[in-house]
Amino acid sequence: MSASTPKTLCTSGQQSIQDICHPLSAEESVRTPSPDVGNTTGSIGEKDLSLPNGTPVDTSSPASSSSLLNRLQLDDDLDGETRDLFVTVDDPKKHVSTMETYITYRVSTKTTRVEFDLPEYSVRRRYQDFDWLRIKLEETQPTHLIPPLPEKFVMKGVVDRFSEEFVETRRKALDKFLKRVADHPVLSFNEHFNVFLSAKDLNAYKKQGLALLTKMGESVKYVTGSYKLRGRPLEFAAMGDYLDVFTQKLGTIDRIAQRIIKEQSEYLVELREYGPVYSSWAGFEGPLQEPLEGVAGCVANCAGALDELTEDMSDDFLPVLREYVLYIESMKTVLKKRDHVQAEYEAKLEAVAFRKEERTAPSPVPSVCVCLCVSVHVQKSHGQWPLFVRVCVCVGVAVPSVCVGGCVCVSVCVCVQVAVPSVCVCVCVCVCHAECPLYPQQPPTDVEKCQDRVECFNADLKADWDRWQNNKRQDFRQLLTGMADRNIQYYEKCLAAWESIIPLLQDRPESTKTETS
Amino acid sequence: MADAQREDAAETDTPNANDAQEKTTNSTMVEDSSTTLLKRMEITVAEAEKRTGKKAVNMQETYTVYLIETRPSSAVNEGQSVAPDALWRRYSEFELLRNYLLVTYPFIVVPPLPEKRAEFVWHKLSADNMDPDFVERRRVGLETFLLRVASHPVMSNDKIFYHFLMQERGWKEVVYDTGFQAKADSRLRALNATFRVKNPDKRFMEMKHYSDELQSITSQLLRARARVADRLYGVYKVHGNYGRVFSEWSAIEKEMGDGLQSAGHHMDAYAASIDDILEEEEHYADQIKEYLFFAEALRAVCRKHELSQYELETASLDLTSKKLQREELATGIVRTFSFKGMTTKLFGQETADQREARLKLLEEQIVEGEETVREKTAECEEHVHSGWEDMQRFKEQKDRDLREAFINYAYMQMSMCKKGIQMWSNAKECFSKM
Repeated sequence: MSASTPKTLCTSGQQSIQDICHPLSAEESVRTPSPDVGNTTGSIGEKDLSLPNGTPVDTSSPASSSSLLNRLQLDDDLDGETRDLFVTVDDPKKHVSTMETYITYRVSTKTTRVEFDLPEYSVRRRYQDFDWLRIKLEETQPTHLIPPLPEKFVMKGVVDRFSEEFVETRRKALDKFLKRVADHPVLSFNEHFNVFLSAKDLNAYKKQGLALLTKMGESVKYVTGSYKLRGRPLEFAAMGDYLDVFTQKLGTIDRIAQRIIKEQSEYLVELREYGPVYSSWAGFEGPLQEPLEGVAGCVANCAGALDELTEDMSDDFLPVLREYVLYIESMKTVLKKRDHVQAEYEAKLEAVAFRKEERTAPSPVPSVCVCLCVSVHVQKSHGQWPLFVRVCVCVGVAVPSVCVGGCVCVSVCVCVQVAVPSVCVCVCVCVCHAECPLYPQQPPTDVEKCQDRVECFNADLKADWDRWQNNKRQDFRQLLTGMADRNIQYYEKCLAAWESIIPLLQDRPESTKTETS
Repeated sequence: MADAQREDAAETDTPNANDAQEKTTNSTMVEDSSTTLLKRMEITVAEAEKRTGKKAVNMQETYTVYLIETRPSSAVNEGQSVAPDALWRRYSEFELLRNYLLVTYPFIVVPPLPEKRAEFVWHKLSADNMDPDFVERRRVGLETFLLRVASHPVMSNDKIFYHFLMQERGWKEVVYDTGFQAKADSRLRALNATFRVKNPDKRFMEMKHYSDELQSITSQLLRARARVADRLYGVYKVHGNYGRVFSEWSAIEKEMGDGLQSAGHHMDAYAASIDDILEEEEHYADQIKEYLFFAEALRAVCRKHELSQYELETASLDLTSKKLQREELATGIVRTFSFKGMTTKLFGQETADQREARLKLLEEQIVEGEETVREKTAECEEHVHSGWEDMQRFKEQKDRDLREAFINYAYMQMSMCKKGIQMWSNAKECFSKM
């Protein structure tokens, strides 16, 4: 189908509009090419679309192809009615072998996607496997934000890796990780993710990818490359600033929460000494014995409630906070990568501009040029999954720095879809490179590719940023209301305890007046 | 009754003590079977003021005086607005009054004064005597003291007490004129002396043991409560930091900003709420403290009994020995060793005249001794009787008061919980709007 072989489109001549699939009808077929990251197998004509370190770009991303895909993704309803991939992590189990002891978790998947052979899967995975998956996603989707994993290393002496609380905290984080990936319109179609969810023997599959290990070193180089960034677009600079401040604030909140837990623990210690004094007193009183015991019991109940509150905060609040710090780190990394891609593009641009002056005759420039930038937002009822399809076509003579050595003819077809209730707008733009009848087409230059890369990256990043902001808002709303709830519950328990002894305190025994004299 | 008037006039939620009960005990004690002073008069310690004055050695000192106001109850009941009689007294005068009462009524558990210096403080609470909160709590304590004395069946009829309330000048002289000071000194010496009493009243010994336990447990309780208050203060105050960070965070957020900002304000309010909560709890601490000091007063009554009993035993022993000596002199049979006997042996028999003289002396002493024994016995019996009665009265008062204190404490805790729920619910609402 047309969308799967974009390059074919380019070389085979301009396609007529009728041959271009109608967005809606293309729904199913659109999905087919997506998980095929398969760059190790070298898909046709996509060798050019690779990052400097050689790792291929995932062409399934709607905006990541310079070959101007038309891609439509009808958004899934958040209610899950049209969501087609459900993942859960549960049932932790301890495994003891001669070499080591470790925990595995059951990963259950339910899906209707055609990329999966079966509708249901249930596999066992350990933390190592999640770590592997994350690395793979980072490698193969460098322009996207990969959700964080819980901390890998724990000090063996300090934390009990097999305690219920630790395992449960980790399980929740792993579950969240997979759900975030599954909800991502691009990451969820990643081949490695698919294998992670479905393969019985993950280790065998992992071995295949060993060759890529060598690329790891290069990717590191890539991130710390030596290109210097000239001008960061305002919006990305703003993102960077925001993340810096946000990290700071999260750090502060973490410290405050820890301090509160500490103070509460010390308060608890004192309460546990305070209550028994009333009991001792009750031991040598007569009519006051019951009231005193009542007060002692009450204090003990409040102490118990406080203990629960502190534990809950420790187990549920702090880990989520810390996970967000990791998330921010991931985001910062992606921002840095984007900067580098842009820097590389700028450098190349400069070099070419230099060289251009040395050229004898400038290539003839078409007189018909269109600059078209289209961004497409597809909005869900609960948030945004903006979808960018950006097309930048060379502008005419007037802006020589942009149009370098090539000419492109453009045909644009825009169809606007009226929204289905949960979907606001979907626009599909398909633009294709075509042979200019007047001037022979030249293959996209290095610079153009760089420019493409920058724009794709920017588009992906913006999409992920918006999604991340939205999720962040929900996550923190949930986190903070949870904290408020727990405190309310604590006070309600204490209130009930004190209310219950009022009748006991007020119930006076008959005073024996006759004994006074 | 004392309880009802003990708190500020505004708080009258305490159950009424049985006035009838007061009356029945009253009628056995006082010939004048009219009601206690408190029935006839309203007493308040209305205000406190700072004064500066000169001490004896020409030094400046700053001290606090308290305004005592009295009004006849009949006037109040009839709704007449009568200007109260008022005078100013300082703490040392209260102390003087109390010492007088201790000496004059050794068989009564005399109510304690509020503490001279702040003890059992937790870190935020000031230990400064000039601190307004301390002064205020002391004012309440002094009022309680006066009301307790005024409602006591015996003490309320004391003239010195009446003068204390009514006559500002010259009261001190009147007190000293009673000559109680001398008794006070000897009493203090006696109470602190160690002596072995052979047959104390068993009930008194049990009471003394109880007073020791009460003193120990209340002191323990006050210390533990102070530590708890300290920690609780810390917990609340740290939440104030959330207020600041939420405010800072809201500055970089778009949609989340408003919710965060408002939630931050609620966190600030939460942190601030602990001050009032703990200030109120100090009243509970003061009630417990009163009984810590009451325990001492109770113990003093028991010690007084021991002292009386000891003096009685000593007097009896003395009498017995004198009678024995007389017998020996009369019959010539020496049963016991005596110095006189020794010297007689050494230096020869005494003359008949000498013997006669000695016998006479002895007879006189015996008569005196018998009188002493009679007195002491009466005193002891009187003390046992009255003391036991007052201790019963005290016991019932204590049970009532402490029960009420615990109820108030429970209500305080409930109020604190309700406030907490309120504040966190407010914050939750803000969070949910983020």
